[in-house]
Amino acid sequence: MAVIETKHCTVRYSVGTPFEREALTDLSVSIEEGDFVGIIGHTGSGKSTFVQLLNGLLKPTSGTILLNGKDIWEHLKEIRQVRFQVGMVFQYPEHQLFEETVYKDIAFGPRNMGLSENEIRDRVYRAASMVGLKEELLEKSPFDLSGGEKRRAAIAGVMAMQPRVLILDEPTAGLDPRGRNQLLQQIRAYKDENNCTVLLVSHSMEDVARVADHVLVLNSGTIAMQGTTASVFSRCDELENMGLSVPAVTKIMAQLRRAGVPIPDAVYTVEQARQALLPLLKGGADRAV
Amino acid sequence: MLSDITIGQFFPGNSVLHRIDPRVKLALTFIYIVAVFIPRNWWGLGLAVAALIGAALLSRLPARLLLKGLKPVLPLIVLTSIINLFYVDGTVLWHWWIFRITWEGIATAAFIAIRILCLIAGTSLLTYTTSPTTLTDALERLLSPLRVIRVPVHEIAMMMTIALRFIPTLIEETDKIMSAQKARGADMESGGLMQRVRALIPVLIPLFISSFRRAYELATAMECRCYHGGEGRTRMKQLHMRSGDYVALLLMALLIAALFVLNTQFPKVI
Amino acid sequence: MEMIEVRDVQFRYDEEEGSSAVVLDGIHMTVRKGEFVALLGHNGCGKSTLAKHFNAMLLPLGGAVLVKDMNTTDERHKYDIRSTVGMVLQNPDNQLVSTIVEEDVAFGPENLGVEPAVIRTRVDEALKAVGMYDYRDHAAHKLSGGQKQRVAIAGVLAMQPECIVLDEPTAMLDPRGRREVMDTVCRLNREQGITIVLITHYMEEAVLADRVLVMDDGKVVREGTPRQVFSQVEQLRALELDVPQPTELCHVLQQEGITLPDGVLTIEECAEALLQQLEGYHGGH
Repeated sequence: MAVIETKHCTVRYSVGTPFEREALTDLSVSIEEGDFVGIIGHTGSGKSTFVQLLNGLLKPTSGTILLNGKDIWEHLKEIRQVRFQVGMVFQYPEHQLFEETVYKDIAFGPRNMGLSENEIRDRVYRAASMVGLKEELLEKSPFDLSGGEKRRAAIAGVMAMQPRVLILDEPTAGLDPRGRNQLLQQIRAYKDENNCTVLLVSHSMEDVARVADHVLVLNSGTIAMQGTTASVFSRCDELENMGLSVPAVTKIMAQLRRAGVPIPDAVYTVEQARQALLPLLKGGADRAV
Repeated sequence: MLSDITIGQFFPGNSVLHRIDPRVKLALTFIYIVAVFIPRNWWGLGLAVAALIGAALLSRLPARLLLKGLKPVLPLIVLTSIINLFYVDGTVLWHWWIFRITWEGIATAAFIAIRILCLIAGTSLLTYTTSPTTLTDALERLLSPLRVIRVPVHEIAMMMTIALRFIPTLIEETDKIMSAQKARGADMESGGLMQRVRALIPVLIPLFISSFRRAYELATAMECRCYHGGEGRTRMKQLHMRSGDYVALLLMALLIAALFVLNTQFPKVI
Repeated sequence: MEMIEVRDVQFRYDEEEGSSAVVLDGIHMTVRKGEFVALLGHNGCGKSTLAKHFNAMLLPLGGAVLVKDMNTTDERHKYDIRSTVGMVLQNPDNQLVSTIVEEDVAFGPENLGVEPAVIRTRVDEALKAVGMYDYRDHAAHKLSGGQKQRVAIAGVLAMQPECIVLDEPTAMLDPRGRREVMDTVCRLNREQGITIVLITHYMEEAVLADRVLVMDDGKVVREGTPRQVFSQVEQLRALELDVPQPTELCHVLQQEGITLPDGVLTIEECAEALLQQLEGYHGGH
């Protein structure tokens, strides 16, 4: 079942001024419950606009957004409820930390939801452990944390609201490889444990390849591709023409395929490449007729 | 959205007014502001208005734009007019309870209203035709003699340059932080005044912190590029007075002289 | 005479700033003239701190840093050193000083007291070198991240440096911006012979360098050509660094007993090596 859907959504910025431009054009997408969707597209493709539509931070110029089949803008007063159900982690979320302690900052969302003190406490601890923040850090000032820890604390602040749909905009930007790998694993674990829906916006195709089940490619405000990660990554050339960088492994496989080696389309991680190549390399002698 | 606000209303162009040396333009604007207070009769005021209209025509900016810039001061003009209208003694035209309207009152109100409009239109003409950076530059150079009496002219100008550079960045950042806090359920649109002020805390604190971070990083970047204050510093863009600039100064001198002459030739209105 | 010579440098931040831990612990390294050096290591390993020693933004507590034989602790050489070794920082927004592109590029030479007419030509040349000349009168804050970083590079170039240190210049950019910046950096190194020190987390950028240094815990732990350094996949893993995907793929296949050359770096090399192997097996019959 679709948890969230956009129907013919168009977004125009600065309407009525010389700077008017269309960020999204007649976009209709439906996101299935429990899916892990990677959203890719280069800067200006409309991906940030798209995700801000989903939790009601932006109102479409025309079109509707359905959450569990209901128009989110039907009752203006209930838009906050929508934001609790569709959690959004912005790019560089550590820049929004403001409380005296990490605990209070993570509790900000749950407190706005009007939860009981006990419930808030539970959620803060759960969220902190989800992103691997040690408990003793919770009583520290968020500004005394390291860069990576700040990022985690900020993400925990949204996870603690336990949204049904969690959107993350470039969560790994600026992290080193170690931080990047850990965070991606934690996000994936969060999704599997809570059985919720996750949308990961990224221009790192390697990141998306590693964790997403489905991929949505946006290009100049429209959907350019949509499907399983395997099916999208098999269209290597088209992605490159859109100015996106395909994982190096995918490119290597494409070159081998061009040279006549029978390699399946859907290879986009090193592990998949290993599995695809080993039988050919080892069993090559047996199979050659 | 906040980012729709434009700062330092500058409209690029290549008119005579755009090309006048910014130092001269700045000085002329100041002189004009003072000059508007010279006339004591309608003839003098008429000449001051005519000079302004002449300058506006030279700027080749649409009249609509100039008039729009006057809108925000209308309440001020209405207020001063009302005060003048009722409190100036003279030939009574209309009388009710303690309120009286006199001929002189009407004249004074109109005179002062026109004077204020001239002030505002004159300064907007300056900002419309001069980019904020050029203006800062001109200010630094015009005020540079003050260095003798230890006024930190260079530092003030550098602060203005940096402020102009970072205002759009900080507006964008405010927008982003507000969105992020709204996404965590912050309610900024309802409640009483106190509640609304409190709702701003989650926006203001991150904004302050990020401003400090930016300031620190910018200071590092400036030091890396050998910044060490105004001493021994040169400027790429040199300002040169051209014949047009001298003509402009001469015209202003003529205007001032004419205003004084007109004051002696016609009866005083205020 | 080396471009930069680092001799047994020790450094730690002041106690009152919170961390008194040793940040640099006996660093020895040199950067030769015209070289392109990449500096790798995870966050907190001390590479940014080291970079700030290259242009006298930080001074060593022990040991010495020499830039073209000028000691960075010598106050008299401070501005010679900073104009010889230019620095580009991570956040493109926080290093542009002026609203207008060309005025920002002029900032460095203006500080150095260069003649106005000379500044003009330097600014124009610098903007042309990074491909931003057409944007010279644009507002800096309206540019894309990649364009802002190129303007920042131009701002350094206008000081006519012999070496540019870039501290994670692409970390905040999208792939397109990253490519723009890396193309510019490589071109400056090849065509103008400018020495480059690049700090990065992206292995595909480090591969472009002549020499790679890996730092961990305030020390240089690996040093060599990209091929030498990246062929040690296990060691890099232990330092929690990525390896380029082509290298990693060859490595996992080698572990399965497939014979492949060591230190494969690029997509082309990897595809070629694999094709040879595949043909080798097929050709056997």
